Amino acid sequence: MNLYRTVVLSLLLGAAACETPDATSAVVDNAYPEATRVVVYKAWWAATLFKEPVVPGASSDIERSVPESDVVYALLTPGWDPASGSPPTRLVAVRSKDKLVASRGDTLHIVVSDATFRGSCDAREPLSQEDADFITQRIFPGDFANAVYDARSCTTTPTPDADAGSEGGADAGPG
Amino acid sequence: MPSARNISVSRWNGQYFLRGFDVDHGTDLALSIDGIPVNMVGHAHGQGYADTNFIIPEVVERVEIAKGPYFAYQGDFATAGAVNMVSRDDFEHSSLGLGVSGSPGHGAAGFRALLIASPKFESGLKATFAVEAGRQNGPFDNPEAWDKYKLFNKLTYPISATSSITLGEMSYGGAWHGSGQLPARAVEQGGVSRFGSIDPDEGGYTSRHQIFVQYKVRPSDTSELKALAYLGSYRFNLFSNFSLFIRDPDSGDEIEQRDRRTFYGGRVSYRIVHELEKVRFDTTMGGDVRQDDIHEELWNTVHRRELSQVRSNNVYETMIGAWANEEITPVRWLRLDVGGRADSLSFAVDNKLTPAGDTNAPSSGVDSASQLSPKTSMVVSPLQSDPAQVDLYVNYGHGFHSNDVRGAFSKPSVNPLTRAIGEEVGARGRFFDRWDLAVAFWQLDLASETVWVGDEGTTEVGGSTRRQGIELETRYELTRWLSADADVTFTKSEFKANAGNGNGLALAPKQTYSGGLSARHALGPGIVRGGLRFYGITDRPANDEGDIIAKGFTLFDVHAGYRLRRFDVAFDVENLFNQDSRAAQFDTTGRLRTEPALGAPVPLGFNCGSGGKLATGGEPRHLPGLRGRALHPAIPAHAPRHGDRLPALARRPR
Repeated sequence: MNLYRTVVLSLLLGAAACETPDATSAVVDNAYPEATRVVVYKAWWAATLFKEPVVPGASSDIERSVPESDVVYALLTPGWDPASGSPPTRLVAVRSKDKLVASRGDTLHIVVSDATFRGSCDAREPLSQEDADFITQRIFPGDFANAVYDARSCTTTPTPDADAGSEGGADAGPG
Repeated sequence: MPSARNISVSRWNGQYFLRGFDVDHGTDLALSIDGIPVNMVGHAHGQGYADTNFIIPEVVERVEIAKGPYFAYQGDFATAGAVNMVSRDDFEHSSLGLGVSGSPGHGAAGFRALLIASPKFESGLKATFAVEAGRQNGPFDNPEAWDKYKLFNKLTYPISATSSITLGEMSYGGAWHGSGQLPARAVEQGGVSRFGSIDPDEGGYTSRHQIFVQYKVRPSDTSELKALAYLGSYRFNLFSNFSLFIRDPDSGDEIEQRDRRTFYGGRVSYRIVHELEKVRFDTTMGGDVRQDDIHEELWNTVHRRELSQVRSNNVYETMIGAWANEEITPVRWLRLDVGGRADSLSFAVDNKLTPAGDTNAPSSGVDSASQLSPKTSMVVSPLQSDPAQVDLYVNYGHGFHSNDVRGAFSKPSVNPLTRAIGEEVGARGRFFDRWDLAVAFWQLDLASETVWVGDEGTTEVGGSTRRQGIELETRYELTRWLSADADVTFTKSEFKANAGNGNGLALAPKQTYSGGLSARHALGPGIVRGGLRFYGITDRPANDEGDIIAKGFTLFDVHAGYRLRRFDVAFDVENLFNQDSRAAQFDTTGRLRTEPALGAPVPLGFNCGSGGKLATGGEPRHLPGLRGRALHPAIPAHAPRHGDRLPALARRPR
């Protein structure tokens, strides 16, 4: 019986010792000062969507990802309070200045700020219209349905044939 | 090994290639262990879903393979064939095994531990208690982290010299991450590696627990009665993303399929052999019943979190079958089999959810269906001498697979039972007591390819089909310690009605092959063994139109082992020559997040990648999504994945 116990114990210890976590993950850190009230509304890196708003000074949930080198795309909502229950009235499309790299097993911290991202008109670093169109029409098309985003002014205006109260109305409203 | 007697198994998602079928999840291959069905009727992921991962391969004593619908004792899903695994009653001694596996340069190693206890009793009681635990990561950028445990417990008690009773239990629990399907264009254009992932949240968790009791008695020297009853519970959560970002360009198209069920049933058979005027009659008759009480759901999810519910159904299915077979041997060189079975399926669907505007949701209802399946065969043995034994045979039989009964209450509706009609002529022989040779010409007609698509909760219409093929098998003992074998199949599969596409039938294998060398020889105080195996499949159409090709592959594996009285060490290398291959390929419409959204203009010079095309065809103006190959790679080179050995039919949920 002692032998049996020894064997079972060895199996359990062996299993515990063989823990082999090498999954890659990523997290968004909102590095904007609280006073700016710039919320990271959404972000996308490589294969990972950060869907929940991240308030200044906070971090998102850690999401499972893959080893990759890629640009981060994000939408910012200056002055919006996620707890208000109302949708944001203004979205600003931004992208990281550099590709961010995560190796196997890393947890990539995506630090969002004017120093690391380009596109904020408040920081006087607007995107090219081509970059902005890529973000608004491919990465986050649902947030810019029936609307046109102007990279130079960081504003969104409804397309002429869009219904006033259509989906994405808040996003499509005047900036 | 992933191939046996012309049944090939895709390594990573468990697709079975058999007789013109790419048996995606087991719909046309009846799998069972000790007579307990593995296939799940009305499964949330696919009809007949057959996950054999709950089986500890070492406890399998033998595998019984029956090809075609010719066997009266085989019912649901036994159209292309049936595989029954028979577990061992006991082992010579108890043992402990440890193994490591991995793909060098591709992430962390996996491990496996197996304890088998087989105590001996003077009463004649045979006992086996086995437990397996392990983790497997595979070669993927998104490690599988497939954690699993399995239990196998079996007691066989001899009630008398002619009867025994067996109690058994099997359990399995597993959780894993999947890498999903990758669009071929994304890999070719460098957007993702061959072992990458586009939705790393794919994967899931599952469990299966079952108990059974089996009674065997021989009332006389010429008769035998067998009875089996089983009860099981099953849970399954699978997260998948096939189209990536078409339906929901923002959150993605990730879905979750949930299946909760209790299944129970039994089977009984009675066999009696007697002679009348020197004519031998071997009579077998029996019946089987199976009940599944199922709750299944389909959700839209992101990061494995619920977004919206698409389907919620309670399904109750009862399948009852009765069968009989008379084997008549009037002379030594002739054997006739005449038999058949009658099956009745009763079912009820309780639809709990119909999303607004969804016209595809099944309605609630109660219905039934039945089928008679005659079967017959004749075997002529013109040569029965020592140097040459030859059998010639002819088979004819009807069989069926059941469909997901939710499809019976959907539009268009699915016939609950799909009839299959098989015909076959062949020969098999053994020569000089060292050379086995078999050849078969077969044909299988399936009344319909219409199926319920669990990934969408809708019906996919397909017409009747015909598959025809030739199978060759040979084994040759080169020496007493070295043998060689080779199997090859040629198959033609097509829809009977030409829909303007040349009768093409997506993913039907055209040619498969396997073979190798096996050696076993005494060396020092122990026995050394080894093997070099190959298996493969040629190019085949990925869609009914045949304009997208699923690439074939040939893979080589090697095995070496040495056994002493108390120790056994083994080493396996899979994909010895580092062949690039795609273990699974599908013609799927999908959209990467960085590609133009639904209805957006297609940029000039947009590259669909090889094998891809625009869904609308013609001049690309707007992009409703790209069609093309999605692929799932096989493991990389020189990857000693298994200190443990794969079960003959190992698979995991896709």
